Formats: sequence, structure tokens, C-alpha cells
Amino acid sequence: VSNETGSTTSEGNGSNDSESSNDSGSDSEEAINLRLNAGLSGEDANTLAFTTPWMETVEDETKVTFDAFFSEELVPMGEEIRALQDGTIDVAAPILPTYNPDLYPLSDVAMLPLKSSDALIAAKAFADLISSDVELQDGKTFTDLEYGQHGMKALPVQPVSQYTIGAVDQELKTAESLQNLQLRTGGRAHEIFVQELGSSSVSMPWSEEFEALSRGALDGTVRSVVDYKPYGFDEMLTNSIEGLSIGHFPLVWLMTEEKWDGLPEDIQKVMEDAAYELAESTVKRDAFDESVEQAKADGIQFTPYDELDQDAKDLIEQASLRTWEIWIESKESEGLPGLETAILWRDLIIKNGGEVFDSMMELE
Amino acid sequence: METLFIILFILIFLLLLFGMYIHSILLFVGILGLVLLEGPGYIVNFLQSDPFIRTASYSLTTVPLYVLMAQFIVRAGVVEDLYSFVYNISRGRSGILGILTVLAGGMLGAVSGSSNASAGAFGQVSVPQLVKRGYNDGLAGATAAVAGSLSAVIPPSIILILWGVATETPIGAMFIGSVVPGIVMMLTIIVIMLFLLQKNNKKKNEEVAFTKEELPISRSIIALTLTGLIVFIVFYGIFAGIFTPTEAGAVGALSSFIVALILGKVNMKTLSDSFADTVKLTSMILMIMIGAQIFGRFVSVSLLPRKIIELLSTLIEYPILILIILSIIYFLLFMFIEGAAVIIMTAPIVLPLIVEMGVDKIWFGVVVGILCTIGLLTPPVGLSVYAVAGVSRISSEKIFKYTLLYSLLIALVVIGLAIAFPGIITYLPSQM
Amino acid sequence: MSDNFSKIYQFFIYIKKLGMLVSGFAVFIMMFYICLDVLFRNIEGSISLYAYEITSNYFMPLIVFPAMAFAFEKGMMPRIDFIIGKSKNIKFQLFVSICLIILEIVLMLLLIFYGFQYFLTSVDSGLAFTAGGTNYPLWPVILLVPISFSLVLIEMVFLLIKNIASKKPSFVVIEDKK
Ligand code: NA
Ligand code: NA
Repeated sequence: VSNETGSTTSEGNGSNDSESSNDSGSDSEEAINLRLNAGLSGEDANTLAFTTPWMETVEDETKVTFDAFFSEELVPMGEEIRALQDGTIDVAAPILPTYNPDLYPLSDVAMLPLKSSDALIAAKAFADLISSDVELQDGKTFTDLEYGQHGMKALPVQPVSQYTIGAVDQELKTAESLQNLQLRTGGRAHEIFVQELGSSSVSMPWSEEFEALSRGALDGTVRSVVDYKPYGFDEMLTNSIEGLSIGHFPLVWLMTEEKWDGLPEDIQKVMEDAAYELAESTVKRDAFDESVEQAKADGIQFTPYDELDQDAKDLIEQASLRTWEIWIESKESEGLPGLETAILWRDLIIKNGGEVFDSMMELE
Repeated sequence: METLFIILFILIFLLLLFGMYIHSILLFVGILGLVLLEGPGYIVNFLQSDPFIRTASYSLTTVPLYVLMAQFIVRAGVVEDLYSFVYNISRGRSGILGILTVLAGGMLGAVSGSSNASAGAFGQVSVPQLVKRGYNDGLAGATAAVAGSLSAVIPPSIILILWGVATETPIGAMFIGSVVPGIVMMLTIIVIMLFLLQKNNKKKNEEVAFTKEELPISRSIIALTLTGLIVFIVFYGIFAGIFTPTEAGAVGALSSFIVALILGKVNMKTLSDSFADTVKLTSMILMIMIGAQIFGRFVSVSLLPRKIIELLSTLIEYPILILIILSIIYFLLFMFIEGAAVIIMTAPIVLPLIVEMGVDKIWFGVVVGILCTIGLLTPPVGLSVYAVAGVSRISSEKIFKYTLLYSLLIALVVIGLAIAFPGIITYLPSQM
Repeated sequence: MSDNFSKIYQFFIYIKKLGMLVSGFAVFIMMFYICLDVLFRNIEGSISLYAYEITSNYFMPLIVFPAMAFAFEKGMMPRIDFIIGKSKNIKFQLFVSICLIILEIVLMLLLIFYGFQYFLTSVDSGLAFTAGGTNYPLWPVILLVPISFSLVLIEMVFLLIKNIASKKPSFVVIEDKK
């Protein structure tokens, strides 16, 4: 159940005492203390790019203070909705929707492989997706279908920077070099992609991943380069591909609609604006560039996508397209608007400067 | 707020004295604390899902699997023969058997990341052998528990991985940094054990006369070969990258099952007995973990660790003092709260303090790892001791009497050395 | 103790042993399952058994919960025997042990009540885990939680009756004859 665990910086100590958050009044003059839960660690790149600055903005501009809990200290991942409904926490920022496809079946659309994109493109596209008024099914938007049906108010969090393949002692250049590997994946879309490449997809928690990579029980991992150092993979991985985007790991901010509606309008506006403004922040993209520089300095060899052999590029394009097709098929067979969601996401990625393979443009 | 804590603390001690189940104390005080802090509605979510979610954990598979492995090994009879063999060639010096057990603990530590699983295995395998050859119950149990606890210090270590990700400390560097303290800890354990053994034998006031144990050469060869084979399969599999340390639990259990099968020691009775011993231990460990989880939730919600550590930061000019106080705080937290929970609730608050003081993050991570290991040996929440007590049927108080001494001395020696000579941790990683 | 008490308790022992066997077989099968997963993974281009998802979500609860009452019966749950064991005053000992058993019953009632609520929620919301794109329902294993704590509750009630009837403090219904 719990896939990630970590910790926090010392936010959340703004309140003098832990007065119950239930007495938050409607008058914006009154101090409101909210209990915020993040499944990720307080040192995590996503926390530093979203949760911390978002809380700071809200604390600066309103009377709201937060008691922040990180690394599943209070609520395990996947349990956020119940915890929000029961009042165990007031805000979940962020949740990791792809870990619970039973609750959020469409959110992993963001993990579908693209041709190229970066953290900023993905953040803007995801913010557009959350605020989109395109009706996907029965007059419902993406946010209605995914979060509204659970009675949740959702705000966008920047997705994780683009994923790529990292491998141990395996130069990634030819089509063959991408096959017969044992690669760790963290979601269904990436599992399909790896299988379509002709490799094996392995799932395990990160605490196992470290040992598995260091002993060779795994040949590599499908992750963003920003994860290499925090999880210690920078010491093991030797090769990676640059300029490829095997999708983005989505993150979402949630609060119950009931609790949200109880907040004064000016606070709602600050909270909402802060989230949408962070979608324009370059922090994640800069952190990604830094991570790549660091990884190169540590001796990880990056093959630029353009320098891959043609057969490798063909294989990646073919596997990417098949991933989209299989993903859409499986969602449609569950009665979900898989095709409409995929097309909406594709168009938002392109609108914000990303690229998909030509064959994906033919999806209608 | 402070009064609440004092009252609850007294309550814990009273309930302990009255002999309430450990898991019930944690559960009861955790629920009471949460209700008093936040009102009765606040426990709902935790009580609903925590028991299930705590249990549905992949890394905990090592607990039943390592214990099952030990069951098969013991029932195959090879351990008995192995200890007899060593007893004979060491001419009856029982100290050698204890040393062998501790060294085996270090070896198992190189493939297992979990102390509880290893302690359970040693309780099964070694305790009866040690008791048979002159160790009193408590000392035998304690030796198994401390030998098992080496698994959390000698890499790989689940607890160091957890700390590494929580604080962005390089995990590989901490693994290398913990090698020397692991060896120091092993030596410390051996010295303490020999001392306790001698004292124990003096008290009995009789020399246990050495009589060579009956053991045909063929059986020694079989015992050595088959044990060697299991060890080889597990080590080779992990270091050749065929499976992970967690999966090694399953492979090791299967190998020992096959060994027991070859030796003709498997029948419905042994299978049923092995199952019974394995699952009752696993259920007990998990029941305590569930209680510890709820208690941990209360400590988290109370923000108490945050407040204590903020208070500490006023002493920033005296870094050594802070380190000593922090070590004591961790020692106490690990006494009462389960290890992973302590790390998650303290890492975020301790880290900025550590960084501000300019303390090496690798050094600090290894120190916390050692303190966490020690916490598995201390009452009231000493899971390694309960694991040994559970499989060996020795009362946990008897074992705690010795492990408490072990843990205080290990803390004093190993943590003391680490503070006085940080190089014993930081030198190796700096050579990477 | 009356014959009826013994008879009913004998039947209950049988139930708990059944639970133990379910848990035991779950460990045994998990052992093979993980080994098979390792084997398949190391054979090129093969299928995955999703050992990580299946073991954590299905095997672990199956190992832990059915055997829970059995563990209580065998006196596995640790407690520190200071006062009850050492005090000479049997009446005081008996009073304390009865209080503790009642407290245990209350705790079990809470775990059963909320565990059952969680089970209802899991059915209601279709709580599931995913492996290889398939959703596997969690309600069957979540149901194990209130069931297993109910068995513990029954064990505690037997223990309470025994303590009251025999006027001697005890934490196991049938003493271990070592
Ligand atoms: Na270890
Ligand atoms: Na402890």
C-alpha cells in the first residue's frame, strides 16, 4: 500500500497549540488552523516545488495556519479521501492518484508516453486539465469525473518531471538494448510501455528497488532523473536516455467540497490562485536540469534521443502508440471516456509546447 | 497539554505494572490520548483502517518467511548437529557457541534487512542449543535477540533506507558508514556476552564438565553440507542479483523445506507445528505493531516531538550536548514507539537542526539506525525480544533483564565512540 | 469448571486451530508464490505474478488475522508480569486481571465495530488494489479483521468466565502443562 515514505521541513508549527481544526469559522478575520497531509517526504522535490510554497503563500496572505504532516505520518497513501471526509485531515496536498486507479481511474492519462515535454509543459497542461470545462462523459468534466464524484474539490499540483529509462551497465542505443531488461515501473501505463518494448515490467516498493538495483535483480528503472539522487539510484545507474518523455507522474491537491465551501471566499481565492500560479513556476524544470547535470557529473551516460539508432526510435514510437491504444481500450471497456480523456490530454500537451509522435495525432 | 502527557505517561507505567498486554496498552493509551486531544470522532479513521493497512505490507513478509525457514532448519535436525559439532571441537567451551551465534547474526545481517525477522529465526534455532549447553534462559534469549538485531545495522538495513529517503541522505554511503559500527557493535556484544556468561556460571558455582556429544562423522558432514548449501543459495542469490533480500526469505524457507524433505523430517505433524509456531509469532508481532501505530498517531497529532526538538534548538551553541540529548531522546522514543514511526515523526524536525549544527548527515543517520536497533531490545516495545520470547517460550521479562543491559552498554560504547571519534562512521564513505 | 463450559471451549479450540491452519497454509503458499515469481522473472520475456501486490494485499492479511485468536489462546501476547505475578494478595490479583480482561474486551469491541465499518466502506466504494491493469477487490481480506477480532473477543469472554469462576487470576483458558 505505502510506496513512498519520507519526512518534512519544519513548517506546520505556526500554531501555538493544536486547537481543533473543526472550529474554523466563516469569518476571515478569525484564525483558521488546518491539518495538511502529504504522502511524500518534506524533503521531496514535489514538496519543495508545491506544498511548501503553497502553504507559505496561504499563510502569508490569510489568517490560515497549517499543521503539516508528511510521509504518511498521519494518513497512509490511498486513504486520503476517507481521512478528509472524517476530518482526520483538512487538506491533502498532494495525493498520488495513480496508486489508486480504483478511485481515480483516469488520472494516469498523464503517465502516457509522449515524444517530448518538460515539467513546466506538464504543469501547465495538468492545470488546464483540472480546470478544463470540456465535457468528457454525461456532461461531466475531467475533474467532475475523477474528484467531484468523491465530493472533493481539486487543485492542480505540478506533475513530476518527464520519465525516462535508466539502466545499469547497459548502453541504451539499439532496439535490442531496450529489450529483455527487467525494469521497475510505478504505474499501469509504464507497465504497458515496458512490455511493448519487449522488456519485463517489475513492480516493487522503492525500499526494495534500491537493493534490487544495487545487486542486479533489476536492470533498470522507469523514473524521472530527479528521483535518482533522493532514492540513491545515482550510485547505481550508469545509462539513461535524454530528450525522451515517457509521461509524467500526476499529483493532485484535495479538500472536501463541504470544507472548501465553508472557507471564506477571499481565502478560497488565495488558495486557488496560489495553486494555479505555481503551475507557471519553473522550479521543477530547473530542478530537473540540475539533476541531469548532477547525474552527468556523477558519470551517468545519457544518450540523446536523436542519437538512438533508427530501429530504437521506431521501437519507442511503436511502444508509445500501443500504450495509448491499450490504455484507451481498457478504460473504454470499463465504461470510462478513455478516448476523450486521452485526446484532451494530448491536445493540452501540444497547446503548452510538448510533442507527441505523429501516429498519436491520428487518434480520433 | 503537558498535564495530559504526564497523566498518560503515569497511566502507561501503571498498566505495565499491572501486567496489561503490551499491544493493549499502546492501543488504549493511543485511543484515550486522541480522544482527549481531538474528541471521540477523531479515532474513527485510524481504528477503521490502521489494522488492515499496517498488515498489508510487503517488507513484513520477511517475518513469517524467516521464521518458517528457521522452523524447517530446526526440524531437519541440522542445527542440533551443527552446534554439537562446534561444541565438540571447542572442547565444551560454551562461550564459543555464543560467539558463533553472534557471528552468525552478523552474517544473517548481511542478507536480511529486518531485525525482528532475524531475531525470530535465532530464537528458534539457537536458543534451545545455548540453553542445553549451559546458558540460562534469559541470557540465551538475549543473545539470540542481540544477534538478530545486527540485521538492522549491518547493511542492507530497512531502517537506514527509510531514514535515507526521509532526509535525502545517500543510502549507499550510510550502508558503508555502518559497516565499522556494525563490527564494533558485534565485538561489544561478544564481550558483554562472555562477561555475563562467566558471571552466570560462577553463580551456579559449578564447572559444567565437558563430555563429548554423540555425533557420527557422517552426520556432521551432512549438517555442514546442507547448512552450507542453504547459506550459499541465499548469499549467492542476493549477491548475484537473482533475488532481493526480501525475496530471500521465501527462497531460504523453500531451501530449508527441501532439506527437511530430503532428510525425511517432513510429515503432517511437523508441518502443522511449523505453521502454528510461525503464524502465532507473526500475529503477535503485528498485533503489537497495530497498537504501536495507533499510539504513534496520537504522538504525531500531539506535535510533542516537534515541541521538544524546537526547545532543543535553543542549545545550538553546545552541539555535543545537543547530540547527547538527542541520543537520549531517541533512546526513549525507540523504547516506547515502533522504529519506523519514530523516524517518520522526527526526521523532518531533527534534520534542520542537524544541518544547522553542521553535523554530517551520514554520521547522524547511522547513529539513529543504531539507536533504532537498540530500541528493538528495550521494554516495553521491544519487538526483537518478543519475537525470541514468542518462539522460545522464555518469558520476555527474563530476556529484557539482559537485553536492557546490552542496549545500555551498546549505546554507551558504540554511540559514545561515534560521538568521540566520528571517523569510525564517516571515514569509509569519504573514501568512496 | 462445568462440563458445558469445557465442551463449548473445546469446540472453540477447534475453530481457532482451523484459523491457524488457514494462516499457516497462506505462509506456505506465499513461499512458493514468491519463489515462482523470482523464477519467472529470471526467465527471459516471461509473465509476472505481481508478487509485490498480491503478497502485501492478500497473503499478509491472510497470514496475520485468521491465526490471531490462536495466538491469544497460546498466551503469545506479551505482558510484563510485575504485580499480578508477585503480589501475595490473590483477591487483588484477581481484581486486576478481571479489570484488564474487561478492558481488552472493550478494545476488541472497538476494533470489531470500526473494522466492520471499514469492511462496509470497502464494499461500498469498491476498494481495490491494481496489478497488471486488473483491479482486485480488498473487501474479502478486510472482512478478516472484524472476524478475527471477534474470535479474540470470544476468547476473552471465556477467560473472563474462567477468572470469575475459578477465583484465581489467569491469562490463558487452558494452562500450558510444561
Ligand atoms: Na542487514
Ligand atoms: Na523498545
